[in-house]
Amino acid sequence: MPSDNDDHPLNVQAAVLGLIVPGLGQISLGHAKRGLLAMAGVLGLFMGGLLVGGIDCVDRREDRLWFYLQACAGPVAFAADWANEAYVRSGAAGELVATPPATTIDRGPEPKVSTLKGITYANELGTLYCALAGLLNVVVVLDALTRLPRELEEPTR
Amino acid sequence: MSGIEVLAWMPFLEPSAAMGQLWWLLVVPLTFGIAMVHRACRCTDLTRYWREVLGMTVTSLVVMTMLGVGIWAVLEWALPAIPVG
Repeated sequence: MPSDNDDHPLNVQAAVLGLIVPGLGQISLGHAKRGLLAMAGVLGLFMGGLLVGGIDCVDRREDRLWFYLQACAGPVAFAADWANEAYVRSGAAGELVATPPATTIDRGPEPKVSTLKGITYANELGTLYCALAGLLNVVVVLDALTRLPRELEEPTR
Repeated sequence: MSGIEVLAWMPFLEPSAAMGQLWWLLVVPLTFGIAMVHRACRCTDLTRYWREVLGMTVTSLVVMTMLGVGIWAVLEWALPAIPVG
């Protein structure tokens, strides 16, 4: 367990690596298998979310609070947000259509949205998958921060 | 979802509608992913990793199902049984 040695200094470098690529912190400490399994879990959930909900479920502008959680998964979240902006929101993929007026009060032209925008359970679940991937990466980073390097561990593992 | 809709689906660009009314089944891979990450951090002996992942997944799903049944029983049976006024 990570708390075997309370005198051991925190692995700040491993934690930073874990924020860049999930699981890389454990790998840098010599726990390659553990790191790869954590990486598979976090990235699997994140990519699963994108597959279910489309890249529209990572949206820094419309779903800001969700994005804060998703961003904890690392640069992959920012890449997904960029792809959403470049392909879906811009209309480069799909088509931009006018939204129906929300109220009878004239507030100027309504924004156009992409026909690829997710509005059903799929989008909600995709958003949830990606947010949980981010939260789980926080757990993985904290584990890397406090875990003993492999050469300092007992040889029973 | 019809076959032609599946062929027209652009993965990652548009949301998947393949699950249809069975969208709630997505809780199974979600729970499995959570268990994978949790056991990767907490499992002391990685030779038992997949067994522990499976155990945590099944336990989580069973507990969630029991909670769902319990809440359903309260809403459908217990609350209507309370006399009004």
